[in-house]
Amino acid sequence: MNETIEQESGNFQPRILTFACNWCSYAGADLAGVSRFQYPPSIRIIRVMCSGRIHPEMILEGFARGADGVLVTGCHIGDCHYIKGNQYTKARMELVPDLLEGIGIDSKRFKLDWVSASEGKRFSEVITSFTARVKELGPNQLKLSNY
Amino acid sequence: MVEARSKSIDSTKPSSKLVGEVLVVGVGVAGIQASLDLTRLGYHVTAIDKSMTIGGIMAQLDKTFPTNDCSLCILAPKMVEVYRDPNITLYQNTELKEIEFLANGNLKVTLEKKRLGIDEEACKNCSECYNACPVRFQEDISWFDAGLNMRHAANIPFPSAVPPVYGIDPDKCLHVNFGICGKCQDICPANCIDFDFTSQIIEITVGSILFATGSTQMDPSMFPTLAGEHPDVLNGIQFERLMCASGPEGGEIIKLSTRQHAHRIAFLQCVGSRSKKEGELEFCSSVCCMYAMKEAQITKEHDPDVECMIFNTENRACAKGFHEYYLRAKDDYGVKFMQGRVASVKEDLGSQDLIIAYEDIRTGKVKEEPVDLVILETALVPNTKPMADILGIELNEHHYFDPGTVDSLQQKGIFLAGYNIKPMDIPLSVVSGSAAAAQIARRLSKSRFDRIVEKEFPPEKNIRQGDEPRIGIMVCHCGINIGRTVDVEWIAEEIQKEPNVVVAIHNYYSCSSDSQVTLKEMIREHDLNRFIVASCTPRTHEPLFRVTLQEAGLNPYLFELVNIREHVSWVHMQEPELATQKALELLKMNVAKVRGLQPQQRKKIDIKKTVLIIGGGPAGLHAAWNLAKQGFAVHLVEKEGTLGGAVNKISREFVLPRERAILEKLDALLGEIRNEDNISLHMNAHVDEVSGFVGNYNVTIVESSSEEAEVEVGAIIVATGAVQDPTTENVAGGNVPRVYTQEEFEKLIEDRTAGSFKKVVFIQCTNQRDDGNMSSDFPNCSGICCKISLKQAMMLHEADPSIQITILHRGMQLSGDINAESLFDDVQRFAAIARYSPDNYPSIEHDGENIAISLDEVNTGMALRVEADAVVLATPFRSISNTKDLAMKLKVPVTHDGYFLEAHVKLRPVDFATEGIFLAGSAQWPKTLDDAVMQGLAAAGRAAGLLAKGFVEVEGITARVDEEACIGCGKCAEVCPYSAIEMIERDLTIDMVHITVPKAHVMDAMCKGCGTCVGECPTHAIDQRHFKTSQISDMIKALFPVPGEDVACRRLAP
Ligand code: FES
Repeated sequence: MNETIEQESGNFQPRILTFACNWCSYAGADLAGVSRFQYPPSIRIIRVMCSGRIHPEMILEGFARGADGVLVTGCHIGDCHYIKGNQYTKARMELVPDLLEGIGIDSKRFKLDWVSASEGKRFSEVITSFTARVKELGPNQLKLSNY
Repeated sequence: MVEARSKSIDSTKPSSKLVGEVLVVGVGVAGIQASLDLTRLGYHVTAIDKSMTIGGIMAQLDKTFPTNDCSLCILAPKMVEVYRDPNITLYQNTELKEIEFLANGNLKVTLEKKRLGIDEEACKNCSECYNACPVRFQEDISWFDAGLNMRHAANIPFPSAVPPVYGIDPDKCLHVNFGICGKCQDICPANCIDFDFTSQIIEITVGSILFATGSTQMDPSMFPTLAGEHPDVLNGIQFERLMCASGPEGGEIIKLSTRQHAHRIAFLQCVGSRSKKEGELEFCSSVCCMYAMKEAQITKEHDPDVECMIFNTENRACAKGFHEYYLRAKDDYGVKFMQGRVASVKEDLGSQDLIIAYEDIRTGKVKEEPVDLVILETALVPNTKPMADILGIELNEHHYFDPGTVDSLQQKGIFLAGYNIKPMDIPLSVVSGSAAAAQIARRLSKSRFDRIVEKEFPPEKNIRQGDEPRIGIMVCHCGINIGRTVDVEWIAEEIQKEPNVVVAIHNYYSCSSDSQVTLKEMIREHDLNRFIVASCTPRTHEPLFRVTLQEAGLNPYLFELVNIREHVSWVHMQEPELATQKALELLKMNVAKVRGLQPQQRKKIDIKKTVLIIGGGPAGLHAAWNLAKQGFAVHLVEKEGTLGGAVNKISREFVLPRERAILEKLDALLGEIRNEDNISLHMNAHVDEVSGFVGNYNVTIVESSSEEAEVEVGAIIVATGAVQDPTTENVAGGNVPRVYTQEEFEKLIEDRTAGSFKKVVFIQCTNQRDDGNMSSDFPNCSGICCKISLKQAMMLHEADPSIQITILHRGMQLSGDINAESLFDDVQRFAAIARYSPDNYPSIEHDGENIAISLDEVNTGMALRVEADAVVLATPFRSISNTKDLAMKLKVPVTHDGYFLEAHVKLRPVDFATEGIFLAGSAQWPKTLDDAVMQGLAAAGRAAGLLAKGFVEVEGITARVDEEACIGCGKCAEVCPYSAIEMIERDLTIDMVHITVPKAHVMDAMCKGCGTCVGECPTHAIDQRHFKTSQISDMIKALFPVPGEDVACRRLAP
């Protein structure tokens, strides 16, 4: 179905692997829904309890499998439900762009952002702008078929 | 079925003690909340409803404002919870007949339960009787589809009614009346039709009774001048049914006369309410403005070209976020707001169109317009009469009990909730239910847990290594919430093709009680060991389905909820194909995840039976007092040197009668609270640090800027209040003398300074209720200022009738108070009232000596100039200044206008999403005294319910270490926010050499399951239960499949 839509419209629909923490960013996405804030159907959310759960390797795996973009979201710094899990997320994610460039992936395909449970509007804006950015970069050419 | 769950006829022996049993009369949303809270608090509940199902009006609604959430979707889980609670005995078709007040304080009640020709225990809710029944007749307006549908004699209000039991209407049944037919009896596979219509008398003794009998919306046919009998003239509830996807017309908004789509709809507000006519109500029903806007929005969502016009004198949208909701209706949806009431509705005999006649305010001319549908938002009448009759007490002219009567009833153990107190919306009804539960718990505190039984589940099915995952899937239409955008049927077909998926079905409402039965049957029939529901957010609905799994003998962790509503259908409304594709991919990812799910165990953790209350205002004080009297220890933190908060700002010099009782009680509390052993007061104090988790918070309190106190508490209540914005300069253009906020003016009244003014002008909605044309950062309406101005006007006048008083407003916000309209009438007798337009705030001029205010009066179209020697401004009430700081410490969210944000605006109004933290009073949104007190009590009830048992169960999603892979680097222990990981020494023998090596070890009781350690581990030696690295990897693989890759799981991972 994916392929047919792409071809018919001649329109690249990026698919963005997204991680969201249960307490803020996932809740922010819920609020976007409840408020009917529309955004492009690009993201596929994997819910984790805290953004601190996200290991850089998961991001690499996403790109290796063909994700056009990877988005990591969590609570704003200071708001983490588990006190400071997102501080480690931040520190870890700072390493990711270099890792990506090292294997030939434009680090602009990767984004880390914070969205609180009350920021439904912001959630939709983050998705809209990141999707536009990934769209501009085009499809991820690095699909390692046997990752 | 129902009676099997009850102890049927009571066997209580008389005792000197109050019994731990409560009768709840009326099981709408208030009764549901109270019942569930009461069982958590340790009391057995007998809940009765006179209709065939519980749920009340809320079950009939299509959507709910201001989130436009599907009403039944959020209510159904609670209805199911009531039905499943082993400590609630539910009787439908049942009425309270008699109350006997026993000498020991208990109440002996007589209930009459009607039988409806069906053996309820045997009924399997299969609908065969309904299908077989040849009788068809138009239902009446009191029935579930509000008179818009045909019924059979054998019937159920709606498919997911609770309890899920059919009944026969003896007046219509052919067998009962003529001895013929009996088709239902022949066909019923459960043999449950017995045509027995006798009544059963049930007598029980209870310690308390709660009345929550709700309201009834006036029948439109009462209004002949508005063509109320015409088929295209409906009341609000009828229109809700018409709009609803599961309603009589499948959600098609049509003219019932011609069955063609409606293109022009007029919503007429205040029909039968705010009226002095005989048989009508004087007060505002308080919810109709909001739900009319909702109905118009939803209509526009169905078809943006439908013209929706709302006719009212002013729009009442004064709670949290409500004014923004109005702006959305007006600006985003294009709903038209017509100021003025419709004089008449007639049918054009030629075209058969409905013609409305109304006065165009701008031109003053009467206009006539044809419309397709007219919705009369008729008054909601409190269902208080039967209660008053049983009690033998007179109601006042508003159909309510006087405050004094309510007090004396409480002394006898009788409490009220929901619309039985005053007109209110759903969140306040929920609050009132929790508040009543708290008050009852206080009364019955000696019999807590006397009658409570623990819920028992069947033994858990053993999931062994080597068992193949067998996955069942339910894809939900959610009425049309999902189905309108996402091709649900196709998804169910597609996902069934995935390896390990044994069965996939689609259904209308997965959260309803009948779907729980279906789910359990699927598990049994297909021998499933994993289940997925694709519907809405796990943040609200996961607990419901987990219990269903437990009832089917599966571990609750073998379940996953895939969110295709909030994350798909609601955010991609214009892209159905891409939305469908996304939904399918999300489902595939979760199929990959559940293959690796394993049973987990929840831990019980001991907790502190102590509550911290931040804020000693009306809400905090009542919360503290209630909790202390229930037997909990309380730490009350107050930032000032005196208790009372907002109460101290209210003048006692001139008090309105309706406020007197509340103030007297609060003043008495202020005197007694110091002597209460269970309450520790921390004055001039603030909360400095908070750590820990539900049940065990460590809090540092700093007192008078020097002394520190460390306290350990199980729960926290935030009741920090609100203050009125002092900035008046920008309004008056510089610092004008004698321009005051209402709070400042109240002080002047108290000091009797106000009496020296001869001309006082009140200006409402200053710097708030922004229609996008002010520079205010406070878009919403504070909701209490109009009532304050009326009160102050009254006080001034009583003190000195010669004072000239003027009130400049833009639509008075007087909902939620049965006396407010008559107070406004009284004030109009002596005060001048003028209305300005939202885009034209009055200008205030002064020459240092005199103040003059100019405005364009809306109703007369005249330019007015009013002189004043004092001006009182209704500036916004804001959450206290350090709200953000406190929110950060507590890890709870704040709205964009600076107020604390509750867990769910509709059904969890005093909870935060973070377990163990609660919200009360004006910290949630500015509140009148009675509402603040109610919220304080509700928060106390919720906190007590959490702590009553002495332990909480925590999620079994902790981390675990694979010691072989662990290299002992200690990084995990370093990052753990809870110090739940310790490094231990393990003995190791390599080639006969004994050494000790460090290994990480997780202390289960302290691990909160965030997984931060897992994200840090360089060797993947540590993993998180239920969120395993391999599962996340499987999800990624499922999202980006590689052709030919084998994803099926033949056996379970160890
Ligand atoms: S819980 Fe959201 S980032 Fe930690």
